[in-house]
This record gives sequence, C-alpha cells and structure tokens, in this order.
Amino acid sequence: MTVTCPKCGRSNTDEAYICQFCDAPLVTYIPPEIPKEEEQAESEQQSDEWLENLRKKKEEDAKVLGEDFFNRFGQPVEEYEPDNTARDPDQWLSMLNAEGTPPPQDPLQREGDAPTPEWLEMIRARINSESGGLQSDSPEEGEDWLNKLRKQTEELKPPPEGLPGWAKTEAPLSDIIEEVTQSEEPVSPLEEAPEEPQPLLIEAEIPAPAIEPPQQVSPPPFFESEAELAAFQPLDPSLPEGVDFTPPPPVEPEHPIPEALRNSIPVIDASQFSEEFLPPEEELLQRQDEPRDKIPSREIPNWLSNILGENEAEATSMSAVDANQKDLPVDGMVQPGAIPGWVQAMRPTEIIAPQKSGGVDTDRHIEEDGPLAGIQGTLAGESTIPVYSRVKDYHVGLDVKKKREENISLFKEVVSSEQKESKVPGFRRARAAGTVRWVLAALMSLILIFAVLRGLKPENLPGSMPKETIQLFQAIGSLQPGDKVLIAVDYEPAYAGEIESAVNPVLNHLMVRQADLYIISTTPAGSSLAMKMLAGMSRFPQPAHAPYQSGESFHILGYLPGGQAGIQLLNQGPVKAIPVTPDLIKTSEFPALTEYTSLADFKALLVLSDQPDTIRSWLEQMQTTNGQPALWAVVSAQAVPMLRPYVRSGQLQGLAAGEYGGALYERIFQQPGVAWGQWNVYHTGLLTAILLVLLGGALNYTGQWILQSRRKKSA
Amino acid sequence: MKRILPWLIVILTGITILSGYFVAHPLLQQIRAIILDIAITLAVIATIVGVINLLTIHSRKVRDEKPDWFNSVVLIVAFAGTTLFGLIFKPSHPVFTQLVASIQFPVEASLLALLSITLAAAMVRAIRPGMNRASLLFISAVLVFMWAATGFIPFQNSNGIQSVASFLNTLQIGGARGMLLGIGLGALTAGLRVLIGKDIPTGK
Repeated sequence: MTVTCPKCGRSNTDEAYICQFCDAPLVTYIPPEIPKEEEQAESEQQSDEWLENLRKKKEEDAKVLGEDFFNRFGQPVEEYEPDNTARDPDQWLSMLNAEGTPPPQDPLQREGDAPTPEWLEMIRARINSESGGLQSDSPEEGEDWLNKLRKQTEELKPPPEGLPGWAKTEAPLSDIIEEVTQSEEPVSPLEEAPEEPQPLLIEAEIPAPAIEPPQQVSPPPFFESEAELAAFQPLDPSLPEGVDFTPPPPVEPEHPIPEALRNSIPVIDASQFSEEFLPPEEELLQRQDEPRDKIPSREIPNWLSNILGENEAEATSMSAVDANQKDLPVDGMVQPGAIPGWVQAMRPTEIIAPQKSGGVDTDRHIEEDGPLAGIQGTLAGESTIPVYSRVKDYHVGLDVKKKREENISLFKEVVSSEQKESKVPGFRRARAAGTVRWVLAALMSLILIFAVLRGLKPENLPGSMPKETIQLFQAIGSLQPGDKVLIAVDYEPAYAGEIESAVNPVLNHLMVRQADLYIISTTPAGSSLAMKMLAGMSRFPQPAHAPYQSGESFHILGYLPGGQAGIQLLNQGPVKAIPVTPDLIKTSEFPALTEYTSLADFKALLVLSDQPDTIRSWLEQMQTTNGQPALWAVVSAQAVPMLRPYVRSGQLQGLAAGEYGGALYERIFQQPGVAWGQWNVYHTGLLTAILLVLLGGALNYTGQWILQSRRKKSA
Repeated sequence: MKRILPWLIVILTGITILSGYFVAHPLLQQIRAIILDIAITLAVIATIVGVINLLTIHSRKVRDEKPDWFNSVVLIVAFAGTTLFGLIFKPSHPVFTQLVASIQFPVEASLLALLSITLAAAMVRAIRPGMNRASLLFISAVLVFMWAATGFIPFQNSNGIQSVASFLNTLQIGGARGMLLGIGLGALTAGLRVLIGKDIPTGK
C-alpha cells in the first residue's frame, strides 16, 4: 500500500512517516493505551522466567553462532563482548545521520580491527545510488546475516511492557513474526502502538549484503541443520503456563474514556493542514518530550528515514520498558501515577499551528509536566504568581539640606560676628579730654549748687497750664468731705522721687478736701511705697490740711494680685478683691467698707504709675457706673505722650505728670511743696545739660574743621 | 494628652473670662472669681518655689565656696531677717517701712540714675565724628524734649508759638494713638489665637 502525501500528492510507502519528496508529515500520532498495572506486574513475572530460559539458551547458541560467524568472516567470536552499540542497533544506525562520519562498522567488529568490509561498502554505494528505492527487492533478502543478528538481539531484549501476552512466549520471535506477517497486513503507524516491535519491517528495508546473496531461506543460525530445526518444537501449548497465544482481548485502560468523550475527540486529518501550519518535526519532538525517533528528521536521508521509522517501534518499545521499570515503586515510595490514556489522547500534541514570527513570546510557553505536558500557550503557574519587588524609593520632597546648611553657616557667622568687637571709626583723642571732663563736672556742680542756694521759689515756670492738670485740680476741688477716693500705687521704687514730688500736691489737695483715702497696689512693694509717701506729707512746708492718721483718714488695703484680672475682679468690690490687709486685718472691718461696697461707691480712682501700660490696664478693666469712679492719674514724665490720647478722649479726667506737673499743681493750688522746692534745681540742671551738649558738639565740629583746613593747606 | 490638657484649660479659662466681659451674669462672675483665686494660689506657689530655688542655689554656692560666695551669704541673711521681721512686726510697722524705704528705694533710684547717666554719656559720644543722620535726629529729639521738660519756652503766649506747640503736640498724640491701636490689635489677635487653639503656650 501507498500513502498519498497531502501536500505534493505523490505516493509514499505506507511505512513512511513523512513524505519522501517534500518531507510533509503523513501521520498523526495516537498515544498508546497503557495496560493496567496488574497485567503489567503479571507480564513482568512471566518475562523474568522467559528471560532466564532465553539467556540460558542464548549462551548455548552464542557458541554456535560464533563458530558460524568465524567460518564466514574469519573473525574470532570468543573474545567478543557485546557492547552497547551492538545491543542497540538503533544507536549505530542513528550514527549514520552524522555528516562526515563514516558508516558504522560491523557491530561485532572491535576497535583496531580490519577496515570496513567490502560488503558494507557495497551497501553504502547502493544506498547512495538508490535514493528512492528503499523497497526491498524481495522478502528473502532479509534473511541475511544482519537480519539474523537483529533477531537474536531482539531475543536478548526483555519483552516490552506493553506487549500482549502472546508476544511474551519463549518461542523464537522469528516464527511469531512470520505468523504475524502472514496474518496481518502492514500496520500503519497511525494505528499501532509504538511499543509493539516490528521486526518484519526491518527485514524488508535493510538491504541484503552482496557477498553471499542467499538463495533460499536459511534456518536460524543457532540450528545446526534442518533436522534440528524440524525437530524443534517451538510451540508447546502445555509448557508455558499462563501463556496464551490467542490474541488477547483489547486491554481496557485503567481510566476508560467515556463514550461521550470518546466521540467528542476530534479525528485529526493531516491532509487538512498545509506545511506552513505544521511545525517542523524536530520542534514537535522537542515540545512533546517524546522519543526522538518517532518521526524522522529532514536531515536524515529518505532511505534512512524509512529504516529509522521501522526502528522507531523497537526504540519506543524499549523506552516503554525502561519507563515502566522506572515507574516501579522503590522501597514503597509513592511514584507518580500513569496518565490515563484518554487524557493523553486529548493532548493535541501532533499538530500545532505554528506561531507567526511576530508572535508574542509569552504565548510560546510549553507545559512540561502534568496532564498538559506539551501543550503550548498554557499559562505558567509561576507567571500568575505576583512577584513583589521592593519599590524604588523616590525622593519627592524638597531637598533643603543644602539650603539649610547655608542658613546654619550664615547664622553661625552672624552669631560669631556679634561676639566680636567691631572697631569704631577711630578718632584722635584730644589730650585735654580728661581735663575737659573734669571741667564740665565742676561746672555742672557749681551751677546746681547755685540753684539750690538761690531759694525755693520756682522760677521760669511756663505761663500756660496743661488742661489735664487743670481738670485734675477742678475734679479734686469738687470733692465733698468724706468722699471715698481709691488710690492705686503702681510704680516702682526707682521712680519714687519723681512720682512723690508730683503726687504730694495732689494728696495735699485731697486731704484739704477731707476725702477718705483707700490705698491699694498691684505691685508687692506698693504698700510700703504708700506708707513712705504718706509719711512724706508731714514734711510739707506749709500743710493746709489736718493730719491724716492711718486707719482713720486713710486705709491701706494692700496688694491686689492678678494683674488685669485682679483689676476686673475689683469691679465686684474692694472687699471681695482684697479680703485681708497685709497686717491680716479683714477689709470688711474698715469703716465705710462692706461686702456690698463696689467701685461705684468711690468718687474717683487715682492711679500712680510710672508706665503708660498700667494706666491703660486700669482704663480697660475698670467699670464705671454713672461716671463713677472718675479716673485720675499721676504719672512719670515719660508716660505723658502715651496718655495724652486718653485725656483728649475724656477717659482720663485728670493728669499730672512728673516734676513739672507737680510744680504746676502747687502753683495752681498756691501751696509750695516738694515740687516747688526741687523745680529750680531741676530746671537749671536740664538747661545746663542741654547747653553743654550743644556747646561740646559745636566745639568738636569746629576743631575738626580747623584740622581739616590745616591739612588741606599743608597738602 | 500631655499637651492637649493645658491647651483645653487655657481655652476654657479664656472663653470664660472673655464671656464675663460681655455678659454680666452672676454665675460667670462667680466662676471668674474662682478661676482668679486658683490663679492667685498658683502664683503664690510659684513664688514660693522660686524663693526655695533661689535659697538652694545660693546655699550651694556658699557650701562650695565658689567665687563671690560672701554675697550669697548676705542675700540669705537679708532674706531671712526681712522675712522674720515682717512675720513678727507685720509690714505696716514703722521700722519695717523705714527699713524698706532705706534700702530698696535708694538702690533702685541709684540704678535708674546710672541708667540716666549712661544714656547722657552715650548721647555725648554720638556727637563725635562718625555721626550719621539717625544719630543727629536722635540727639535733636532729646534736646527738644529736655527743653520742653524745663518749661522754658519763650514767647509762649504768642499765637505763632502756640500753633507750633499745638502741631507738635498733635504729632505726638497721633503717634501715640497709632502705637496704642497696634498694641490693642496685637493683644486681641494673640488672645484669639490662643482661644481658638492656633497658638499653644508651652512655656518654652
């Protein structure tokens, strides 16, 4: 029979796997059915017995074969030790594939022996000449010595695992092969299992040597004569127990294919695919991880591809035996189970549409293990596992390190420069500078002494009177005897001299008006200052008021804590704000003071302070009811500019400031006091200082001008 | 919590005190009085702690005989004597008053006099060569105010002089009011920032 190539349409032998003319694949692969493990174990046991018997017989026949071989080729056989190449004819056949390598030698020839025999050279010449004539001339040519050797080698091999029971007998394989050849038609590789040996094909393809063309079928070499051959009883149905020569029933696979699934398996027709959709055969072999020699390569000559195709069955069967031996459990270890046949049948391993050249590489993944082994385009398990890698750190903030270092260095430079003494623009100190100082000091002292000795009458007072001072005088003048006036002493002892000279005429006026004075203080030293101030009233040169006694006409309530909060608390009443005096006397025991006494019960509040902020706190925190209490102030001269706005706005009803204000108040009241006595000296000293400053500056600039003019002249 | 608690106390106290300015409710007045008493007590405790710290430092200085340790001895003796005298004779005693007046007042007055002399000497040095426009302006202002303080202003009753004096006084009042407004707005802003938690006083 011939097989028509679906591509080129030419006929090929039915044994060919690929087209001899265009190398197009002619077959599809159907995986073999794997027998059950029980049957395999049973067949193995039978094969062991069969193999022992066969080995014994082989040892006896080897001697005969060696003598026959020696007689033919003159080579000793006693020293022959079959190597791996001789055992596996497929290996030395595959060596023919290598370019430039000489044709394989006789497997029985050792190294260092004679060169290639003549008969082999003839074979090579015939192969080269007959490119397509691989068909055997006659089946009788297979009965040459090589075929016999092959048959003997096959006998040495253990029966493959997948062989049926009838193939595991002790009968010579040649006989069995003959029966099979006569009974069966040439089996297409599409239909037969790869494990089944095909010795018949080997006989038909290997050319016969030209040395001694056999005229008739010779008996096997291990038979001495035709008589022995006839006497030999190869088939004894009674001897091998358990050996059944009847064709075994179809082996049911371990995992039978369901009927519905069996029908659903598509039948692949290779003729439907053109060559461009069929991948190269080597690529298919690599993908399928199958024995390499199922489909001959393009590089193998056509004649060899046929041979290789025939030997493929043998190699496959041997590999199957090896695979089954490997699958045996070792020491009870669990071994991977066999893949069901119907699963393997579903594997589309035969025809896979090739990927285009521009295809994505990710689709070329081929599964290597498991039921999907050989399938292309599957998703790799490891590829679906997300791989986490450390995220690269990106600095998104501002890089202020450099700027910060610059600022730090600049700050350090500024601080260090502050600690260094900078040079003042130099000037040439006059030699008489020390003398001038002493002269100035003496001059100032003489002037002040003259002012003190000159008398107490104030002189050079301004003719105009400040409005705020006049308002204060008028307000105090409107008081009735017994009116309560609250006095807040909020100045520091350092300003006591100035404040006392300014407040003395005011207190004198209040005493004249017989007002009840209640003294509080927001500073701890206020009580002592108040005591000193009232004590100084006795030094008044011409007191116009009756003497004031503590506890009768004036009362020192003491310290008012809390600052502004204390001032606000004072709005609830002096008793609530200051329950106890510094002498630990309850303020509620003072006359005209009860718990219900409020600030509105006081006619006025006179604040004595050296700071404008203190006056502002009183102005802001104190609550007035119907204009009571009126707020008056006697302050230091330095606070006047800041308090003038309050006077203009009417929040401050009276103001006397400094030595100047006290002197004016005494002048208005016509009661000379401390301010009166100090004013002349104070006024004279200020004028002297102003004149000396101006005179000294004028002299300095005059001297510098004279020096510069002299330098210009000299230059 | 360590920072939130003082912040909450400050805010609640400030809101309570501030509400007392606008709402004359007796309850708010009482709460404000209580808060003030607490503040006074805390201030007294702080004063006592400060005094103890002062005595501890100077006692250690005397014990270790560090430089000027005798001054520390004087401070400790004066503090102990004044405290005992005040506790025994009370602050209103004439001797105690004279003691304070004889020591504290002259000392502080002397310090202020030194400040005045220092300022006068600085002003005289400013007249030296190297004087710039700013120093010239400063010296002129000082001399004018000194002259005004003396009260020696000739022709005070003339209309021209009064107009000039009124103009100068207006400038002074305008500048002073601007400063007062700035102080008031600054205080208001600072208080509101504390009340809304924008500024957290940490005491550092």
